[in-house]
Amino acid sequence: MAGNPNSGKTTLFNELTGMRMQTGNFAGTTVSKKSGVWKLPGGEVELIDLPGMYSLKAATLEEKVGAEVLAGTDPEFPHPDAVVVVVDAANLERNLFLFSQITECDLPVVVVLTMLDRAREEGMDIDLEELERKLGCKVLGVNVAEGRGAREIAEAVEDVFVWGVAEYPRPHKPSEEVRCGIGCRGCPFHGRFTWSEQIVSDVVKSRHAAPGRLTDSLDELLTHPVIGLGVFLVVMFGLFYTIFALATVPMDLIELFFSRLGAGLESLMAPGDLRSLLRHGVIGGVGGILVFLPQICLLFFLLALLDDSGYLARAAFVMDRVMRRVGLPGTAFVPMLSGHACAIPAIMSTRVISDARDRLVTILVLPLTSCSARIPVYVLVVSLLFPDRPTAAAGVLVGAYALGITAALTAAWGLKKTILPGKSRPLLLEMPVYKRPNLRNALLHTLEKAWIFIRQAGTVILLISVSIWVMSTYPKAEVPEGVPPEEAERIRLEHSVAGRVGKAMEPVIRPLGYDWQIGIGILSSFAAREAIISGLSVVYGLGEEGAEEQSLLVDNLRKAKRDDGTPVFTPATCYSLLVFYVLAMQCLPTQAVTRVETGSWKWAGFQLLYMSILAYTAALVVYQGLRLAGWG
Amino acid sequence: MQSINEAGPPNVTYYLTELPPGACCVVSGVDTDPELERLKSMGICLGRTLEVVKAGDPMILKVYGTRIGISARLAEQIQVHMCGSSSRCWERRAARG
Repeated sequence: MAGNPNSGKTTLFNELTGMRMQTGNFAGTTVSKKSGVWKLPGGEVELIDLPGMYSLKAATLEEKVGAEVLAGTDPEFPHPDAVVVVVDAANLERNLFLFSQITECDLPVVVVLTMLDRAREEGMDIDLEELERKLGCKVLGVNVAEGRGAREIAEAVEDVFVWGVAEYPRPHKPSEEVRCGIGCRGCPFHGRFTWSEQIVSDVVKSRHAAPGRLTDSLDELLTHPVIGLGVFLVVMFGLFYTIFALATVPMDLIELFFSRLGAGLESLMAPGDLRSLLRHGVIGGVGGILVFLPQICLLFFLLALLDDSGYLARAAFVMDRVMRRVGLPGTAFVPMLSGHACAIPAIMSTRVISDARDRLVTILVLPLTSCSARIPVYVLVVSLLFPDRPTAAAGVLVGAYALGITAALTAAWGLKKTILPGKSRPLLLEMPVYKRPNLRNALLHTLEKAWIFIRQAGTVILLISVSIWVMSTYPKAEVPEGVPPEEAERIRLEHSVAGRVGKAMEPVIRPLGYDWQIGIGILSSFAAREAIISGLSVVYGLGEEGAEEQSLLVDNLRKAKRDDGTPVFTPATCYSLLVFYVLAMQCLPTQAVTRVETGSWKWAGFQLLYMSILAYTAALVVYQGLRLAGWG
Repeated sequence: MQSINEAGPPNVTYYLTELPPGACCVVSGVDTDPELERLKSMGICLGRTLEVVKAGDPMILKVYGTRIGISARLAEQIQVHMCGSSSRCWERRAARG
């Protein structure tokens, strides 16, 4: 199935294949591939939804892939049998341009005309039979929103197989001169467009209203440099507020479920390593993944609605000028903003950025934005710094977010100047007519992305969770009799691999103001950023349960002293820790997603490396600077 | 190729970025820069009628009834002839038949 972007192709595909669809990438690329099982009267076929294309001339990667599949040269789909061309009735000339190119692929074609209701609103009266005659193939009008037409399309395609793919008549090819560009003065597109316009004028009987008056008026506001920007900020704020507000209930439920599950396991199984592994390693790991699902699903769902309505194109338009200053396109803004919920779906959504280099830069800097996993850590540090001053605490929190954003933009600018130079691809974006978003499309899209998240991030998080469990449990310590449980936990942790690594790391992190206990906390953050809280809790003798009682933990941490009597959590150390967590790459599943989206481990590794160096250096500067200023 | 003989100075070539909002024009020349291929496949090519919806950088054009946001860096490589004064392109085309 091929067609222009914004032609209603996705909606039609969802209608025809229902839930029986699979997603992935075309081999060796980052172009998404969607295919599904389509039930025809006489059997089932695989329907491949090609990415939206304006032309088969391959100006973009999507078009290249689409052209290959249609030509039969894609290794995964060597012999397509037929192609359904989706044509937007309100945009006939441009859609017929693509059609004219597809006629050269020597495949049976069935044309599906979508958006007929909108065409009718514009006073367009299309003579379908005349269009069939002119194009030389079956033309079916559908109204997908009302669910009409799917059966007729299935019957038309069934017909192709009844005839036999080789025998089924091909559509009329535009004449030689239209195609080869003679008399076009060097513009090979000219001939085809003229051909399209000719057909449209023969086939469309009247066209009185100027299309899209509502869209025009809305756009005057929404693309205005100042008002548009303001609206965009309000929309983004509303988006995130909604996500955080709506996600808390399911997130709490999921946490509750997993902690009950863990407790249940404790009571059912005999104490021992297996039980501990299952409880802390596996259940903890799986729970840790699933607890992010509500946010991720909400984010994708709401963004899909915004995109379908047509608003996101305006947002990209408005942000374009601002983003160009740092060498990024306007389309990068929404993914970067999404990084404040979770970097993993945000990186997945960078596919909207058409230029490969721009996309790569965005992916590399995205994790610098403060995701929601960092919030518990920020809150802890800020409570240590300002126990009784909520406004100062809030100020520093905002500062942490601002630091993340600034770092991301600066890093983008830096990358553009050094390793990935070149101007951003200039904006060329279709801004479709505003329409009511399709709920079903949004839901299917959300399910698709959520499943990818679970599959990719989930496996990595589980692996790390189990590894960290292993590292914090072995080797076992001999705990003397009569020692209280929290103290016993502390001893065991110190004795384990994690504890030893923490101690060994100390010389490296000393210049940042951390001692080995904080070192252990940082190590456990590789499983989940907020694991530092339970890590610190155990290490300072409060046991895992100590993490639950935040204020008690904070009190204890504040009183913690080093061997020489100086406090551990001085302001300098606190700020240094904060800055470290803002900038450090500790979420290893992000690497997994980066690898998938960039196609190589090289960039994922680079991301880990530069962020670690950045975090270390910044924390160092902050700590030493504050110490010199007397805050250490 | 269509030739537009509407009111307005005939055959004066402007660059797209020079036009005010509401201007209606016909493309008379586009460079062969590969960057501009995307542009052409969206309908901004020789002989097509464009309407400027919003001037600036980026600007908004209407071609075949579709709104397209476009960077000045691309738009300044498109040469056009005026096709008349302020009445909207589509209405004029509809009137023409």
